[in-house]
Amino acid sequence: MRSEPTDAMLIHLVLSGDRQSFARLVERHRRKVFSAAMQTLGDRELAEDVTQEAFVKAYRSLEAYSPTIARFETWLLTIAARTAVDAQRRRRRTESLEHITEAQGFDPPSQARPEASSEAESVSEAVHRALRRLPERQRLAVTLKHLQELPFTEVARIMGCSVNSAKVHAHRGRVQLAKYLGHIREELTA
Amino acid sequence: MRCAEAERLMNAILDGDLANSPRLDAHLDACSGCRELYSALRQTVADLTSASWPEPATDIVAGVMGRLPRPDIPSTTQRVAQVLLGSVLTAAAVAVGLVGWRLGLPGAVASSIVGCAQELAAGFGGSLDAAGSTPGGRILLTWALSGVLSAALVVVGSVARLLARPVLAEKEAQ
Repeated sequence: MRSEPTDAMLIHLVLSGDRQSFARLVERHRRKVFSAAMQTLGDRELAEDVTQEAFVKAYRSLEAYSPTIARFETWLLTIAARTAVDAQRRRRRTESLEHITEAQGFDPPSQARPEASSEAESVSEAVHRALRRLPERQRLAVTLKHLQELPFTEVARIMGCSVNSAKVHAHRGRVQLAKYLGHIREELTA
Repeated sequence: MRCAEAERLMNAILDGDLANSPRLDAHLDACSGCRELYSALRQTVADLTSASWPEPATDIVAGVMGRLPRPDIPSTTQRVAQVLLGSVLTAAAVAVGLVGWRLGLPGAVASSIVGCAQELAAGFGGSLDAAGSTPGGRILLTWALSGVLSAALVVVGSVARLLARPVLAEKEAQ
């Protein structure tokens, strides 16, 4: 049985002019990249657009990629994460604060506890909403660690920070999520 | 153990850096606040990892391949122009060689070339007298002259092609 070509083999073929090998790379990594975009943006249409944009950016800078710096998947997720963050910022600039508040369900701490609304939602929807409420860096650290299941060395590389910094963002993100999901009382972490 | 240390151990376990901690367990037995926090964090991670995410609705692969920059393939017009130009240059080079040979030009020009080369070679202790004075030498110099002229024509033709490319591309786009 013929084994699947590695990422390195496919990259070599792409750089030799074989565009179809890039299609195989896209097929192999599209789920992870789309998940990362979706987890940042929470909007499927925007996440699809960001996913495609991330792969096109990767194609354009493929010659600059080196396996000695990072695994191809890590490099790809770095591009995807930054593209998603840029898209998120562009979206926020075009939306009014009221629209963001309404669409993302932002509730100031003084309002009703989150579980009052999460009782009517599935766990997945509650998680999606809670993630969108997190600050950018915390959301990235939490999703890369727990959803993409990457080690902190790669999380840090993607985030462009130290391992300790990435861990701090993840720890704070978990606590915030626990509050938004109603698993923890506000006063406990005050 | 203080609660801050307990929280550090909780995070180490949730990060996967630590499998378990008897010290943490002992603290949790005694501290309800930390017990609640740890339970909440573990439930949060469980919710995160069990959450489902929608699949893309569109064909990502097709979308990406359609957005990739196109390779620099010359258009049909450009290719025809290149072939014609190459043919003309080759024919011109052959014609120059034949006409020059017929008119006896190479001999006269070869003598000039030999003269210049002699001056240059004098500095290096060599001499090209023999090359220009024998029939075989003149033939070699004739072909050398034709080769130099052909190379010059190819260079001129290539430069002209490069300069004409934007114009041809614009016409192709129209």
